[in-house]
Amino acid sequence: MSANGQVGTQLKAVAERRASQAMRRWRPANYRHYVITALIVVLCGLIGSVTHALKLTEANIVMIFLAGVAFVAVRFGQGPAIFAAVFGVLVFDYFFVAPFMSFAPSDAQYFVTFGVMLGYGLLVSTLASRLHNQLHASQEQEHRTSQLYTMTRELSTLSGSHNLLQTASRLLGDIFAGEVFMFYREADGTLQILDREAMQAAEQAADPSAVQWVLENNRSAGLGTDRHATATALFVPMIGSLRTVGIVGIQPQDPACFDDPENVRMLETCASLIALSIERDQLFVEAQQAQVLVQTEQLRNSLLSAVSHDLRTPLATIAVTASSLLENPGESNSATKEEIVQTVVDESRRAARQVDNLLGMARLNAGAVVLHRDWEVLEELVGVALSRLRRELTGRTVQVRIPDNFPLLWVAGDLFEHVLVNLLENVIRYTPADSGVAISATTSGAASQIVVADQGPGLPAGSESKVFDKFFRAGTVVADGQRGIGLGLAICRAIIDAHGGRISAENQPGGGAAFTIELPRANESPESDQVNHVQ
Amino acid sequence: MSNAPTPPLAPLVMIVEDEGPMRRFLRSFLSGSGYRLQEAASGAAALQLAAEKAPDITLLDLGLPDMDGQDVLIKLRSWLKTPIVVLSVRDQDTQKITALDHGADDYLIKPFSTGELLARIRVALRHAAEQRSGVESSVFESADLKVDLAARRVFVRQTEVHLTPIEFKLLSILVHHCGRVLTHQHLLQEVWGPKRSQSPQHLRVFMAGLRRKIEPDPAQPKYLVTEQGVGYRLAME
Repeated sequence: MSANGQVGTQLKAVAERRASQAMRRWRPANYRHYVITALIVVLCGLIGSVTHALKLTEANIVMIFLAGVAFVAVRFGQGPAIFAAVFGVLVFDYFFVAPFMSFAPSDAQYFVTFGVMLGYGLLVSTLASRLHNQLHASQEQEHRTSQLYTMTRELSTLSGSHNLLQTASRLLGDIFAGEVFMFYREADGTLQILDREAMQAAEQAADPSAVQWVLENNRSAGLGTDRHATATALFVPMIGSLRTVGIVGIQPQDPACFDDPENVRMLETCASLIALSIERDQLFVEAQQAQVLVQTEQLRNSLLSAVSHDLRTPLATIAVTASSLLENPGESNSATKEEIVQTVVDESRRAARQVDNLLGMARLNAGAVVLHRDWEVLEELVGVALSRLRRELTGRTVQVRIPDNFPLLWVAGDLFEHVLVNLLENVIRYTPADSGVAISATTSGAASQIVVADQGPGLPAGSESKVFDKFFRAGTVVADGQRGIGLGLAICRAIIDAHGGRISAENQPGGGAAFTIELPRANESPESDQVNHVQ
Repeated sequence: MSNAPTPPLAPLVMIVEDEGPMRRFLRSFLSGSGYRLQEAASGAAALQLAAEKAPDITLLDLGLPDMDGQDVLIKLRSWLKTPIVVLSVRDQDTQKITALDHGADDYLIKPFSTGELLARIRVALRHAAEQRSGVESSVFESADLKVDLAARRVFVRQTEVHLTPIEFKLLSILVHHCGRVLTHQHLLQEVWGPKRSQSPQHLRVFMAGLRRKIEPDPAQPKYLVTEQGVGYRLAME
């Protein structure tokens, strides 16, 4: 199924040209070779004349010419070898066969010598050229292998389709010495060209129909093939294991480049390589997305269960108590009635605060919260938080200890108030109704600390850091305590984090839990000196 | 709830609210408290009704189906002199500030308590009456706090406290508008004048100082109530 299998027709189309082109590549017609050949033959003649002077037989002289022809055949190939054989026989006949310095009719017998010499030259030159071609081919092969290796290595380190295509485009440009067009196939099947500027060039290089044809038929087209052969670029599909991820087009500077099927094959191999890299990348991304999806799903499930339980409970209570009031209008005494109404009010306020928290968390998660920071007076923020929970806090002693010289806080007032409300609500939920709560503030070095401490049972051992996790709920709940969604403290942490501060929880030595907010002192709170001045 | 206004004619309250249950509740509660009522379920209806009936006070819900509550407010305010109290769900502070800037006299966050609603209506009606008659009491008293504007003296539990000129100015402005929320911007301009550009923290610092002088527990203020993100209100009993 590989792309290589689909070039059959193209292979035939260029097969005849192959041999001659291969020859031409390593043995260009060069008149200098013929001159050198002639000189070699002359040299052979000179050596022959020395041998002749030593009264050696003609066979030895022929051997010398034969050696010359062999040398020429190995060095310069067929043409010069033939030339050497012909010229050699003529020289031999003219100088070394009686009558000397002339061609005689009896010389016909030297046709045998000539024939052997010619055949020998051709044989040697053919063998030599085959050897040469093999050497060249293996060098070429090695070169391609190293190019493919480079491409594999570079692509394997990258992620993101766009990056992959860009790098591949650069590498292909180097390999084929030409213009590269990358078409990426979107999930919906439409083609996107990688580089917008390349668009025009690509349209010139190929009528878009060539690209469309490639996309439809999943086969190469354009330059060097028999389809859309008028195009100046070759377009090859990038076929992965699952689908065709795109099309690569090359417009080589040398239009004959793709006459060599090796080059076509190389391009197709590269295209497969790119396709597989992109697929690998996409699978990786999909795997990551799947993981995120699973986590989101888990979060959604716990949210749903929290909402369905903790939001429906107060609503159910409201519905039941209110309908009892409606159904028995005259029956219940005023004390019971008041109790019922009180329940409705408390439960609805509780539900409203839980909705506040859910919305707050959703906003914080969506990153939609902007910190409108201002210089705020802590006392004021505490006052607002306490007044919001005045009803819930009745029966508890609330102690607020803020030093008069406590600096202004560089915080978003509404969000900080939310933190205080949530911390206080936590106290209300998890400590006995008559126990106290203390809010205190101190400064040390570069940080301001605000502590909300209660006199309840404290946190379960080991849960000190977990209480700030979403949907965490302490296992121990006071007898009549209300359970929350488990978002309150998570919101506190998100808000304090956004302020660059820290929130932590611990059990106090004397009993009860303490939540500490630590905020970095903002630079030069502008009027802190004036607080003192005003007093 | 007992001291509802008495005849000759009870004040006419216009309720602009699209939600049926809330309208039903306001109707039964306010008519029970002795007010006359007109109801509008949309912005367009409200504008028409206001022109026909000239209400003494308007309760305007900001979340209306046909037009933005703020637009209704602007259109009403362009000719209507009587108080407008805005009702809204707990939301961004900017909404409240915008409403006050557009001429709302006060705002209430849903859910509100009925006592709170009646108090706000009374405050708004009284301020309107004072403005019409031009008569204003120069002595303010609430629980243990007594402010004598004419004599420029302030007492807490019959003990005089000494305020700096700016603190007194701040307090006197709040007294003038007692029970109503005043935005940071409004207070800054009243105290320091429109030309001086002071930032809200300036105000917060002076307010903190003022609280320490007149509040028994500054962190749980009885008089100088913070409206988070909007401004301050001098609470009445």
